Amino acid sequence: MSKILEVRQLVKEFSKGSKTIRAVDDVSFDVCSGECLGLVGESGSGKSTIAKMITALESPDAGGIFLDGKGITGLKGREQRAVYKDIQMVFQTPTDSFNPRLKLGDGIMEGMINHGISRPEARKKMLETLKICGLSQEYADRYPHQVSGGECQRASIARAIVVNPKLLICDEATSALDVTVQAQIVELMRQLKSENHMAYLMICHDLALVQQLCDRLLVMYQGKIVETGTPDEIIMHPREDYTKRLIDSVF
Amino acid sequence: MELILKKIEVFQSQKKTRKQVQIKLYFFLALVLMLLLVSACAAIIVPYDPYAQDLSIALQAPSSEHLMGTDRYGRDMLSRVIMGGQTTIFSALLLVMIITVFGTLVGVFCGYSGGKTDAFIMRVSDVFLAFPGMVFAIAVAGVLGGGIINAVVALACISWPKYSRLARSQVLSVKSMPYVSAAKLSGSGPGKVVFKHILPNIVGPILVTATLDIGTMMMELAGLSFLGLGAMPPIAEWGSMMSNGRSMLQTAPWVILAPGLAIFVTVMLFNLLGDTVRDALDPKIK
Ligand SMILES: Nc1ncnc2c1ncn2[C@@H]1O[C@H](COP(=O)(O)OP(=O)(O)OP(=O)(O)O)[C@@H](O)[C@H]1O
Ligand SMILES: [Mg+2]
Repeated sequence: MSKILEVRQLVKEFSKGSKTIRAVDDVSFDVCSGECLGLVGESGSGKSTIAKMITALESPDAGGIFLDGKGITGLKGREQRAVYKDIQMVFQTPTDSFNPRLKLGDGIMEGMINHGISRPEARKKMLETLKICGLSQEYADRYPHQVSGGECQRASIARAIVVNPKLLICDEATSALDVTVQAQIVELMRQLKSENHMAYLMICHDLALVQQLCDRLLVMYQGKIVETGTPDEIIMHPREDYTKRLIDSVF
Repeated sequence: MELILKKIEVFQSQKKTRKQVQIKLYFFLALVLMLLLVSACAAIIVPYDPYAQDLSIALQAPSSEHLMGTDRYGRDMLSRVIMGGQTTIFSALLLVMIITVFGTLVGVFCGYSGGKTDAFIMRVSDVFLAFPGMVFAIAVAGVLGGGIINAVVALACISWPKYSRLARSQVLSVKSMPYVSAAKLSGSGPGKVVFKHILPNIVGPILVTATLDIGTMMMELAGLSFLGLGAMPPIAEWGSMMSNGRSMLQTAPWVILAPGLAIFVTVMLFNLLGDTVRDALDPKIK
C-alpha cells in the first residue's frame, strides 16, 4: 500500500509560564491509502496537537509532515489551500464547528467555492453529499442551532468529504454525542470507509470504537508514541504498562 | 434589593419573545428615523429663521406664536432647537461611526494577528484610556481651536480605544472557535475568515455599544460646546445653546430648558434603541 501521509520526528512545545512542555515529542508515523489509523491516549497526551499540525492550524517546532511525499509544513496561501483539498478534519464539537450565522449548506459549499467550483455545481454536490451522510435536502437551509448534535456532525462529515480528500482526520468526532447517535455516526463512517478510498486518522478515547473501525493503532502517552499494532493485538496483549492501564480503565 | 431586580430582569427577559422585541425595535427605529428626518430637513421645517435676530421680541415666554419662547436676541427657540438637532445629532452620529469603524478595525487586526504589533497598538490605546477623557478632549479641542468638526476630531481621538479593546477581546474569544478552524480548512484566506466568519459573530456587542454611545457622545459634544470648545456661535447647537442660556435660568428658564429637554429626549431615545438592539441580537430570545 502506498503511503499518503508521513509524519517524521514531529515536535511541538508550548510554554506555560516559565516552563515549556513538549505536547508532541518526536512523533513519527505513516498513514497508508485506504487505511484507518487510530490514535488513542489520555487527555493532554498531544493527540489534538498532532491533528492541528497536520492541518496547519499549528506550526511544528521541528520535524516534517509529507503528503504523497511532498513536505506540507510552513506552506502559505495558495499552496496551503491546495493541501486542504486532500486533508480534511471533523471536529469534536459539531455545533461549534459551523458558523452560527451561516446556513449549514453554505458552510459545506465554502470549500468547493474556494477551490473554484461554480455555485450551482457546488450546491448540487453539497445536496448529494448531505444525502450520503443521511440528511435530507432541507438541512442545507438550516442554521447550526436548528439541528441536533448528531445531525450537525453528519453535516460536518459532509463538509469534510465533499471535496474528496485523501485523508480525513476525526478528532474525537463522536465523543460529544450520546451513545445511540454515536453508533449511527460510526456506522456512517464505516459505510464511507467501505465506499471511498479515503484514509482515516481517528483520534479517539473510546477503545471499543477504535476496535470496530481501525486497522492499526497508535498509543500516545505524554507526547510520545509508546505502542503501535493492530487493535486486537494491543487490546489483548498490551506490551507497555501505560497501555495496560489505559485498557483497564475502559474495560 | 439588587438580587430581586436581577431576578425580575431575568424573568422579564425570559418573557420577551422575538416578536415583541422586533416590534419594539421597529418602534424605536421609526422614532429615531423620524428624528433624523426632522433634523435633516430642519431648514425647511423651522417656523422662523433660527438666525434672524429681533431684539424687540427678546426673551419672550413660550406662547402660541413662539412655542418655546425666544432667546435674548429674539430668535425663535423652537426653530433653534430643530436646527440645533441637525448639528448635534449628525455630528454625534458621524463621531460614533468614525470611532466604531476605526476602533473595530484596529481591534480586529490586533486580535487576529497577535504578536508584537498587537502588543504595541494595545499599549498605545492603554495610554489613551489612561487619560481622563474629557480633559484630554478639552486639550485637543483647545489645540485645534473651536468648531464642531474639531470637537468631533477631539472626541474621536480619545474614544476609539474603547472599541478596539472590545473588538480585540471578542476576536480573541471567537478566533479559537472550531468554525474558524473549519473555515481555514475550507481554504478561506485571512480576509474571508475575518470578514465572513469572525466579524459577523462579534458585531453584535459592538453595535450595541455604538448605539448606546450615540447618546453619550451627544452629551460630550454638547459638553464641549457648553465649554465653548465645540460649535461656535451663532451656529445652533444644543450644548452651546444651553451654555448661552445659563445666566438666564431664573429669568427665562425656557432658553435653557428647551435645548436641555431636546438633549434629554434624544439621548434617552438612542439609549432605548441601544437596549432594544441588544435584545434583538440576543440569540437566546426566540
Ligand atoms: N495553544 C496551546 N497553548 C498552550 N498549551 C497547549 C495549547 N494547546 C495544547 N496545549 C497543551 O498541550 C498538551 C496536549 O494537548 P492536546 O490538546 O493535544 O491533548 P489531547 O491529547 O488532544 O487531549 P484531549 O484528549 O483532552 O483532547 C496539553 O498539555 C495542553 O495543555
Ligand atoms: Mg484533543
